[in-house]
Amino acid sequence: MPLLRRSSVNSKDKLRKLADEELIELVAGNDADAFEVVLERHEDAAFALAYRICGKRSVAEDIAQESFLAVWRSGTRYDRTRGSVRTWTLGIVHNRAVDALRRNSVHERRRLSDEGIEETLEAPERTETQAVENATSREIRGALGELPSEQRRVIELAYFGGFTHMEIASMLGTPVGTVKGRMRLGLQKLRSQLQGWGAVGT
Amino acid sequence: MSHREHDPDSPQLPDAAAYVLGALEDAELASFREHMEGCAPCRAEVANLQVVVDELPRATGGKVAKGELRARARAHG
Repeated sequence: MPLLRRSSVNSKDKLRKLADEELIELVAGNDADAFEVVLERHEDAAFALAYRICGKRSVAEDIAQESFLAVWRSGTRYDRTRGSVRTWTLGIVHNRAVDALRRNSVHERRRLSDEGIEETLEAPERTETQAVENATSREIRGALGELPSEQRRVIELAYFGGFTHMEIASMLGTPVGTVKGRMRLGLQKLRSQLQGWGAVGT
Repeated sequence: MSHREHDPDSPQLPDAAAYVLGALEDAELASFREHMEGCAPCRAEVANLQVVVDELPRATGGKVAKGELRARARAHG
């Protein structure tokens, strides 16, 4: 199946002004330009998530690529009542990256230390156009770093480590309900921080 | 489950955070999804927390080379 089946009747500039939900309708009609705009918007987050989970650049690129191909092929299955296009896309990436991680043996699964989330990452490449985005990345990283460590840890183990709450409870030796409670408190704190910066709506 | 529709203290509310983090067990996932259909407080909690989770990837600083995925997508066709 050729990926770029047809170009859009709309210009890229016009497409860039559309909301994701409008673009995905065009993608469902095989509009390759609309698909590229969706990809442009979410490729950094998709790659970063896959990279953080699986820890290898080449594997992360494959996972991100396969995930966007899944978006391209199944645009018709997007259901806006179940969340945003970003949520849907990152959900696909998350599932695939965690599956890849689980295919490895338990011993090879990467350890998430208390020291923070940067240690296993290569230094991020910088270009001038990324300066603004990086400032916001730093803010998000900062907010995560300011969480009480027990809250940050369960969030990282779940989202980046691919562990279930029961696995986390057993690893940390804490009751199951406690892990869920820490996840909730941590995410609520992050939400109020991000709201303060206008990164998420109220 | 309509009686839980407007229950702000839905007993399954704590599952929402684990749900958006992808951390529910398989059996819980199915039952939480079913529950959410009829529980407005749980749906609201999921929506509120999902936007936070969707920002977490950017906390990692990982960057794909600009244009790499687009070039791959084109090559795939």
